[in-house]
Parts: sequence; structure tokens; C-alpha cells
Amino acid sequence: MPGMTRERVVIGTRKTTARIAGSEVKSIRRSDVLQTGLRLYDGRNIGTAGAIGSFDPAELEKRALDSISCGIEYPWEIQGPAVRRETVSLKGIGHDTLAGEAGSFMAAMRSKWPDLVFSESFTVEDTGISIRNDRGLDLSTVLSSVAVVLTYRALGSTGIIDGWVSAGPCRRWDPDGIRAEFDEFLEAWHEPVDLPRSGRLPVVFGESSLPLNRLSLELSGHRYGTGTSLLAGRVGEKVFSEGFSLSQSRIPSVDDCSFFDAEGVFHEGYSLGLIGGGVLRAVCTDRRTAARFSLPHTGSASGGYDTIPQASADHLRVERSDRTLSELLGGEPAVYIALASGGDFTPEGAFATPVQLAMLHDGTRFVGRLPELRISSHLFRMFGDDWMGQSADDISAFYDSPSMVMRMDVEKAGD
Amino acid sequence: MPVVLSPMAAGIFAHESFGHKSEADFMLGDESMLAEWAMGRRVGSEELNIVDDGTVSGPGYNAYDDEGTPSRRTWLVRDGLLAGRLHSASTAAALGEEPTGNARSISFEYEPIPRMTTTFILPGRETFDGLVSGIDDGLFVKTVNHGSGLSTFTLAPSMSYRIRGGRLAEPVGVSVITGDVMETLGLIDGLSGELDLRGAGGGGCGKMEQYPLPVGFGGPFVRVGAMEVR
Repeated sequence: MPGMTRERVVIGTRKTTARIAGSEVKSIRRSDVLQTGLRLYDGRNIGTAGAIGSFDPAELEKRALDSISCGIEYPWEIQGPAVRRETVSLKGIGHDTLAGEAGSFMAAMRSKWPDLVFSESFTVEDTGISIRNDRGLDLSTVLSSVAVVLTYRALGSTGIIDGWVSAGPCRRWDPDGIRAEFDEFLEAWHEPVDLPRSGRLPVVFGESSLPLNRLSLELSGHRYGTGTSLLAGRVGEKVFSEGFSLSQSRIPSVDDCSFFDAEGVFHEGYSLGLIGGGVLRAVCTDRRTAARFSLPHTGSASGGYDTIPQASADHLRVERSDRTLSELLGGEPAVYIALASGGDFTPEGAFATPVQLAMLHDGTRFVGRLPELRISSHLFRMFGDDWMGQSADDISAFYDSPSMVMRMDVEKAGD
Repeated sequence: MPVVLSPMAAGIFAHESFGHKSEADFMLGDESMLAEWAMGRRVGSEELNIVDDGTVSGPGYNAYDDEGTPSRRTWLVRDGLLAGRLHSASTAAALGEEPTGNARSISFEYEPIPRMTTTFILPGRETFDGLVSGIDDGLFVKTVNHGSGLSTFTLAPSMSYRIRGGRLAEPVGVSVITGDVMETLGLIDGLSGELDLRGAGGGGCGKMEQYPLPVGFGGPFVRVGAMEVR
């Protein structure tokens, strides 16, 4: 069709999962799913259609063409010529060996921890994501990983979950090493300790945490543009601590995602600074959001294989400091948040949450299990005056797991 | 402080805080969980009734579950007493009970496991104004962002009002209300006469790796004698 540009998005996922219940492998699940999306651009509008598995190309094109008549505007230049591939491989385990490895791993866990009942899964996954169009764009990322997630309950407990341990996505399978890390955590979990004191204490979060999730909302280009973000109008201003820098990071081996966004946009180094030294530099936009609100385009489009791309503030990464967790804490004991569910931020940025599972951490190891806690603060304090830093080192040797440290108000639940 | 929950908040409480504990796979091979869920155990006043019902129109509707068992109404709490739990075929067989039509999976890629359908507290006899008028200093939770049901349940309100002298007063920002699930059931001391059912936001319910699953929940206005408010 003259004047029409075609773009094809293909996502292939091959996954093998060993499901764990009662501390044993209860089932093996295999899936191999190919998703193909076709986008058509006529210079004014976009049309999309998708198929799972095998499909008739002519029929897919007809459906995409039909959907152009829905009138979804897309007058922007689509991504031009570029060819690049990135592959992240997995060593030491595969789809065919997962069941046996999971069985051996769980036999050791049952032997070591007979008082705990483990559930959840081991997963080996290969994902290929590609985007190609008539303008010479040809990008693809292939990611392979293994992940272990084990929730547990103590025999005699009436809770659904008493805690969890996990590793992944990992690029190499080292069952002895991973189990040693789980054992260290679980040994500490079996040692109840008291909160050193109530009040303002160092609190340690993993990368994917409520504070960062909330910050990602405030960095939404749409929220920023409509004035509903707490950061609205503050690009160029110092909004957080000088020690706080944040990037949109799409490094496949680290962030476990494609190096390009849903519109085929990528940055050299696969990273773009959004906050530097506490100064807000940019908010997350796709082409539509950037044009609508006259904001810089950051290549932050997300979407499924068959959907219209839309802006999202995903793949955010706090830049590491040059200090280890131990150095950040400076000898002070810290509250490591292992399970905190149900709390939230108010629209003004105040934050409070119950902490169902917190561990005392001395900067080098887990010391013991703290009682149920409540923590509270405010978005601008957490990443501002109370920000202590992002650790240079990782909690786990097997996957990317820096620690985010900030002072917060901490008290025992029920006090 | 005393809290009046809207039907939406009461529904999230019924689903997140109570409903997940009724899923029988959490009880398999665990005497303590089975003992906590002993049939006939009193958990609330005689007015308290909680059901899961896959035949109710809405996002939790299922003519049959994903193992082919017809959906039905399952009484979880009847007249304040524990009365049932949610089963797949395998959990029902393991516990010597009947399947309840609750074996559900989010897609062809996953196996069916016990999941809720539409879970709600049945209405009582009071009015909303009547529930509020009995509170000198309390909280009305109108809308909720999300909730959870671990050892301590939580609800994160998005819109709440103070209750002063038996009347609604100013809006108030609340990060979280929390409490022990079973204790809180026992503190429910008033139910309004209306029933409002709705679907879960954010795509549905998550359980382990299976998210999102469409479910419904709801209830009447519910007064709880005491909840922790932060």
C-alpha cells in the first residue's frame, strides 16, 4: 500500500516452570508462545493487529488496516534505520534440566529447614523481543534467565506467608551458592531480635520497592504535563538530595528488558538520566506525551505486542554510590524491609506502611528477625534530607541487587 | 478507633483479608491452618455472613470453573460461624470435601488453583446514617487504593472522612488502616441493608505467579468497633 509504513513487533517466550508446593516439585509447566503484532502508519493515524502462534499475514494486515479507521492519531515520524542485536545468555541450567535441579534444590531445603513449608516456583525463561519496520529499523534483544522464588510458612503458623527468599533473574545457575544465601537469611529469620530503638532509623529497601514505585508515578510525563505530579513544573530544580541520581535504564543484562522501548527508541549506553545530583532533568515521555506537553522525548514507550505504545515510567534505576552498604550505615544497625504490604502514599506524598517482615542488618549480614513494624516518612524526605545512598555492593552475588538506604520513622506495630 | 467501611472497602476486606485465607490450598498438609479454619468456629456476630459466589453477574462470574465444576455459592461464614472453604478438585479430594467450582487459572499457560470468584459480606438491617450516628470519634473509609491480607491485613484508603459526634466531618488523609483478620471480624458490630458489588481494579486479583484474575467483591456499609488507623 503506497504511503503506508509497516512495523512488526514479535515477542517469543519459552518458559519452563517447576511449581513448588509443600516444599516439593508438584508440577512442571512448559510454554512456548509467539506473539506477533503489526502496526500500520499512514502518516496521520496508527492501526494495529496481533496474533498468537501461526497466522495468515494477509488477514493480520487487513485487521491492522481496518483499525486505522478508528482514527487513533499518530502523526509523528517513526523510528528510522538502525540495526542492533543484544543477547544475554544463561549458563549452567536449561529447560530440560530444570526439573531435576529444582528437585535436588528442594530436597536440600527440606532437609535443612524441616520446620518450614515452601511454595512458589523455579523458572527458566528465554524471551526474544524484536521490532522491525519498512524504514530499516531492525532491533532485537534475547534474554535468558533462571529465577527462584520461594515463599514459606512455619509449621504452626496461621499466616498465608511468613516470608520469602528469591534469586533472579540470574544468568548462571549456582545452586550451592544460592542456597547458601537463602540459608543465611533463614538462619537470621529464626532468630527473633528486638528493634534497637523506636524513632528515626536507617531503613534498607531492595530496588523494586514502594518508595521507588511511587517516585515512578511522579515521573510520568502525563502526570507531569497535566500538573498532577508532585514534581510538576520543577524540571531544572533541585528536588532531592545531592546524593540521589536516577536513570531510565534498559541495559538487558542488568535490567532484564529490551534495550529499546515500544517505539523502537534507544539511547547509547541504554541509559538516560532523569534526576542527577538531586536535580530533576526530565520526566518519562513517549512521542505522543512529548508532543502533547512540549516535553523532551525520553523514549519511554511501553505496550504489548498488539497495543498502541504509551508512555510509562518503567525501568528506573537509582545510580549506585561509591560506598558499600556497610559504609553507608557506618556501624548503625539497619531495618531491612523484606515484606511490606498494604501501605501507601497519600496524594501529598506522606507515606506509611505496615512491615510484615523486617530483618535487622548490620551492613554485612542479616542479624535476626524484627517484630512487625510500621514505617513512615514523606516522599521528599525519603529521597531528600533522609536519603543515605544506594549501595555500591549487592545483597546477592547472583543478580543485580543494590540496597537503597534512607532514614525513616520506625516503630513496633501496636505501640 | 471505630471505622465505617464503604461497600467497596468492605469488599476489599472480604477479598484480601479474609477470602485468601479461605483458599484450601493454603491449608493442605498444615494442621495449624486447618485448626484455624475449623468448621463451626465462631468468628463474628450472628449477623455476619460472608460468601463466595461464582454465579453472580460481574467480573467474578463463572458458569464453570477451569476444571469443569459448576460454579455455586459457598458460605464461608454463616451466622458468624466458619462454614466453608474454596476448593479445586484436588484440594477437595485431599480434605474429603466437595469441589466448590473455584479452580481457576489466569490463562491457558497456568494450572487451575483455588481462587475466589465474587466474595462479599451479606447485608444486615441498619442504615448508613444509623451506623455513623453510633460513633462519637471515628473514621469513614469511602474508597480504597488497595488492600492486603497477610498476617496483618491492611487497607490503603484513597478517600476518608472523620466521624465526629455521630456525623460525617472533614476529609482526612489516611495512609493505612490495619488489624488482625479474625479479631476484626469479631469486632464487626453493624451492617447496613444495601449490597453493592464491583470488580477489582488494576486488572484483578493476584496469587503467587497468577495475575491478574477477574474477581468481584463488595458488601454493605460495615461498622468495625476498632481498627488501627495510620
